[in-house]
Amino acid sequence: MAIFILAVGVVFANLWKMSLESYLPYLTSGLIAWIFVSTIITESCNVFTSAEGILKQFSFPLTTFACLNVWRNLVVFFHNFVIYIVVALIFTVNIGPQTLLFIVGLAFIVVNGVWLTILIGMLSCRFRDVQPLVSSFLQILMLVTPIFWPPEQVGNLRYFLVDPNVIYHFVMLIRAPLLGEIPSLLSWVVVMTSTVIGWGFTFYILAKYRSRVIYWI
Amino acid sequence: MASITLNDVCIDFSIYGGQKSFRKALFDSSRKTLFKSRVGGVIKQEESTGNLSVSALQNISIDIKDGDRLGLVGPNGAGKTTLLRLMAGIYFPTTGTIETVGKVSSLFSPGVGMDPEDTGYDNIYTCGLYLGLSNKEIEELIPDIEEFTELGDYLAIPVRTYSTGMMVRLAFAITTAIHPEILLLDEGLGAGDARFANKAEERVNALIGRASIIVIASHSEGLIRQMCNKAIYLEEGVIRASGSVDDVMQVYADSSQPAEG
Repeated sequence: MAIFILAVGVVFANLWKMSLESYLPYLTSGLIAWIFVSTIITESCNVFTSAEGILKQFSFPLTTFACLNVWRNLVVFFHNFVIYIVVALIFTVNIGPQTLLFIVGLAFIVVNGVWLTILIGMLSCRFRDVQPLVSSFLQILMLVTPIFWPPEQVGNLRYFLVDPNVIYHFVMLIRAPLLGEIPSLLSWVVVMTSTVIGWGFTFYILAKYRSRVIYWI
Repeated sequence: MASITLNDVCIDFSIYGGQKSFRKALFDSSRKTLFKSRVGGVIKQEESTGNLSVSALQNISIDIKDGDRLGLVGPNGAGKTTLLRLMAGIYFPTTGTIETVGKVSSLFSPGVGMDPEDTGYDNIYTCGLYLGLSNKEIEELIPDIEEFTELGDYLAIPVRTYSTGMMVRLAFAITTAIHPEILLLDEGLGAGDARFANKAEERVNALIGRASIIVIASHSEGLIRQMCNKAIYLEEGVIRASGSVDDVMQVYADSSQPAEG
């Protein structure tokens, strides 16, 4: 992971004609946030199918397995976070009290991760081809989301490509504080809206299909 | 006071087959009939959607009270396991209602939830938590499990290094250490070598003595006669006979005679 960031960092900093000093913290903070979000999504495809043995033996709430998925990835996130600390120590990053806002960002990803896991987990139980669909979709999304490149690079395209990208706003909630900035109002609004709508929809789906899940796996 | 009340419960399993594809479900509106034949009325087809489903249980009404030791008999695919999973709260009824009072413990396959990388002690906690115990309750059970399994220091090393027999002992010890109100068993619990088998039997009997309701599904007539005071004979998801063990066993034996002969 650290080697990956270093290799990509050197190449892309040259590509975008940016200094390594500003690009490497940018890449690192974005990438650790992206990996956190995207692994939650990829692994959510398997949460219920891999818990088949347990689910068929005990009466167990599905939410437990969703929380397990998010928790595991949170632990992984803090492992990757070490790389950011090293990068921040080597290069000058504007760290201040606003940096602590990334904890709020993390909390939002955790809360949203749980409903997302339940939803995708249920969907991929019922339809087994959701998993490859999700993983190839995320691959495209990784390149389309400004992780490796700064959003200013695409000019006017950013209004179509970057601003409507919900995952980008989740990433920004972590990246911006880590770079010493305060996340934009748009990001806060998008994330809060997705929390409310996401949980609302998931509760509806749970109420309707909770009893069917065991027959799907 | 424990009880299980089933009121006119049906369970249908949907068969998705080729339709288990998200793409097909979205785009293929002209679903064609997969099979024309209907076997014994068990596989049915919904007219509107063309979806196939199997009725695993049909109109089951049972009332189980404190002190009942209920045995479930019937041929393969009769719905015994489905009925147990329904009582355990794993399956939900398609129609009808089920009401359970008391703590249900289901021991269908001991050893589920064990992590081979963890030590024996870790696994006692993991399985205990799955079985609905608190950390404190598990702590109290540990001396009993230590003594019963005779695994000694092996409990402190990862489970993946255990022999099959040792693994069985541990799983058995954990699952039988609980104090259930309602105990659901799929086939009997067996474990280990001959000397251990006697110890195991004592332990199962003690476990059964602690529970106020027991439901056992088994093919073994001996086991049912030994442990149960009531029995239900299931076939194709329907109750063919219920009542005292002797009566039900008689009906079961009579009905399976021609098939065997």
